[in-house]
Amino acid sequence: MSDIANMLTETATRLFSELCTKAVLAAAETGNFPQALWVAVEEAGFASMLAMEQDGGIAASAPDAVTLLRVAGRFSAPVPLAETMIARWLLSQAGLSAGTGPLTIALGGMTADGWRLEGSGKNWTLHGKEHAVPWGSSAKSVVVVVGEGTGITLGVVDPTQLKTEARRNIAGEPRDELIANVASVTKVAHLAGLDHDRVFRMAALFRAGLIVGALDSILELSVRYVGERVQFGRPLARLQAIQQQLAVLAGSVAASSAITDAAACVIEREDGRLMIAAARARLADAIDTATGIAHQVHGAMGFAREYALHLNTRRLWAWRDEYGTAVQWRERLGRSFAGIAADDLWPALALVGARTETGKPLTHETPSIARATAV
Amino acid sequence: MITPQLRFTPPELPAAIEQLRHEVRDFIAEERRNGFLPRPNHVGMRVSFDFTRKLAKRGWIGMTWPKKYGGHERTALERYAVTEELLAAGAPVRAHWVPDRQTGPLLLKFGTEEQKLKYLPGIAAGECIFSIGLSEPGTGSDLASLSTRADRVEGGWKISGTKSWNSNSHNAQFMIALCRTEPPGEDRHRGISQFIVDLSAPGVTIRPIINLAGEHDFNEVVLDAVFVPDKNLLGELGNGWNQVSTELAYERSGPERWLSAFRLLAELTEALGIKASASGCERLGQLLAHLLTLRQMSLSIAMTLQTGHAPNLEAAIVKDLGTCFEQDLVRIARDLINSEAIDIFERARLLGEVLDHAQLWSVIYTVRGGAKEIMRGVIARGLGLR
Repeated sequence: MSDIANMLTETATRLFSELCTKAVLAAAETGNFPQALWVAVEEAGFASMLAMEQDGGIAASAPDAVTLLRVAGRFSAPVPLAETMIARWLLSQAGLSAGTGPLTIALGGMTADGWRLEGSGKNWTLHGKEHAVPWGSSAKSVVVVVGEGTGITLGVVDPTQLKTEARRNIAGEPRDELIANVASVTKVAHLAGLDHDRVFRMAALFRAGLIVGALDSILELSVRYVGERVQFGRPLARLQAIQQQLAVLAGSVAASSAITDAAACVIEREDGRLMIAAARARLADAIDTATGIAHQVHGAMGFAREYALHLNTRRLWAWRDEYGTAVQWRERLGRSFAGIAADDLWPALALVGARTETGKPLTHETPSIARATAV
Repeated sequence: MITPQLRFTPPELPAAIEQLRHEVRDFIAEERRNGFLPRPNHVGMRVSFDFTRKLAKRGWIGMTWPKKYGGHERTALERYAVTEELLAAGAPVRAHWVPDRQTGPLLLKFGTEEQKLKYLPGIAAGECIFSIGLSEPGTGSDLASLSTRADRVEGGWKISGTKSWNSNSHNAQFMIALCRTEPPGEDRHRGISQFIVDLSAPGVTIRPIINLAGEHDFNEVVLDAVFVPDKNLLGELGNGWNQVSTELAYERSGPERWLSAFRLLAELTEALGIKASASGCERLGQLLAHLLTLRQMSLSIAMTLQTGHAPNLEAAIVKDLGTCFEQDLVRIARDLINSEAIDIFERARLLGEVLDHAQLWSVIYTVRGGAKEIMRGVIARGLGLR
């Protein structure tokens, strides 16, 4: 890990381990926003990390953001950190001020068909709806992202201008429905240099970061539990059946970590769309395997609300299908390659996520390969 | 937080590697065009001495070894790129695969100067073939229980015992046999040594073990009081266990653990066509996601190897995941062929042939080179559970 990554991990681990207590997490599920945690997150500069310097950020890279989110995911931080990071990044790119306070993003789904912005000059209205916007009604503002050809348009909306229905995912995190029937928009900006898919895959990557952190945590909890729990006169860890299961769990965690880190490095490139699809598809399988094993080795204890395992596993089950479902990501990846000539498949795959020391993009040598990496 | 060995650093490759990949692809394309290398109707590797010699001429065997031993002093990453390309093309690399992958590095690390000069140039030229001599009829995963014995005699050793599941021994001149040189004591891992056995020596009998695919790849090699001169002891007397652990890291960490059935994936992807159904694309995407992940992990290991670190835990993880993936691939491919109504009797005939072959071989993927239970034991040890 780089120096900045080590430092981030250390600072974030201290902050989240101290403030994401059982009580804070339980209160968050019943609708009490963890104000002290949010203030600490703001003071640490985490929420503005991707914004440019003049906007209070450090223009952090995607891999650094993922490093931070792994820690947030590990401790189940019940705040819209990923969403605020992306919202402030977009606002900073557009030259709009963000201020402080939690923000959220409304991307209208993978295909950007949820929202419509209409108007001109200073008079814009928002139309459409989206299910399950994280902290949709409690965020200070919603940054709606509408795809428009090669660019995107941002609309900043006050949630009080929207019809909202409070909902929660199975982890008890706010996932509100937002409906806009001619809602007035506070600010609008066009960003020519970004497209909707780029923003969407950033959001998907940030979920992946949280997921890997939560996977790390359930491996850690499981290893600790089987070391302490004595059955048949010895710790569970001494039983080969348990060892084999934990090895499979560790394999899933290692694979998730590897593909997420690799996707983070190329997320802004064209093939980033394939790498994030691969990452999210792989993570879904890892979640299924890992949560199953973690609960199995914990026995009935893992089913108890009192024990911490569910804080991670319920989130994993929810996050698996947020910012693109596992089915969507698999299909996107498969669709990009289906029909490629047998002898062209490897050259096409070998380009995906490949990085050279010179940083020069790799060339596409045949039309079918170009197709896969540019669909 | 998880142990650092579960982190696979995303690799950044030297740009020259891409150039090398293109050279290998161009070579394979030319061999295809000239009819020397038909599009494979099978998984795994076949033997072609012609092809092996052609690769040797291009400098793609013994790539990382010193020039004075016939090597080419290229990097571990360059060798890695060549192996990926050859495996993905289904090239017939069986003959030299083991000596290039593990015998050479083993000799370089533990061999005498005389041994290096005697064997390495021949291996790099694609002329000298070695096979592995580890398993025995009574010794599979529990390697330390081996019973092949080497007894001191004047000027050398007399080896008696039976080695089994020896791939390619019938095509090889030599075998590196793991033998007991002392009776097993308290530490079963001591008193084991490696010897270079000339397979044409008196007392050596090689018998085929036909596999369930009906092919002759495995052999049983019976050593009946075979004389081996002192100079054929490899490495240190009694240090065989440690030497084998090094050898197995080379055997387990390569891309062959997730690319051996790649031709099935390649034929399947082509046959699915651009009109594949949404659920067909989804299943394909799931497979590709696993493959791309394994590749990132494998590349990361290749970078690590370059720095001289022996990635035993990482290799065990990739081998376990990779071989399980290849078994899933067979199962999913069969269902996809049926659900997408792919005509494997005419239009996609090659796919049907590769599928059948993969089905037969897939049972051994999670056994050879270390059973998955052994791999998981290695991982569990890495987690501190044993």
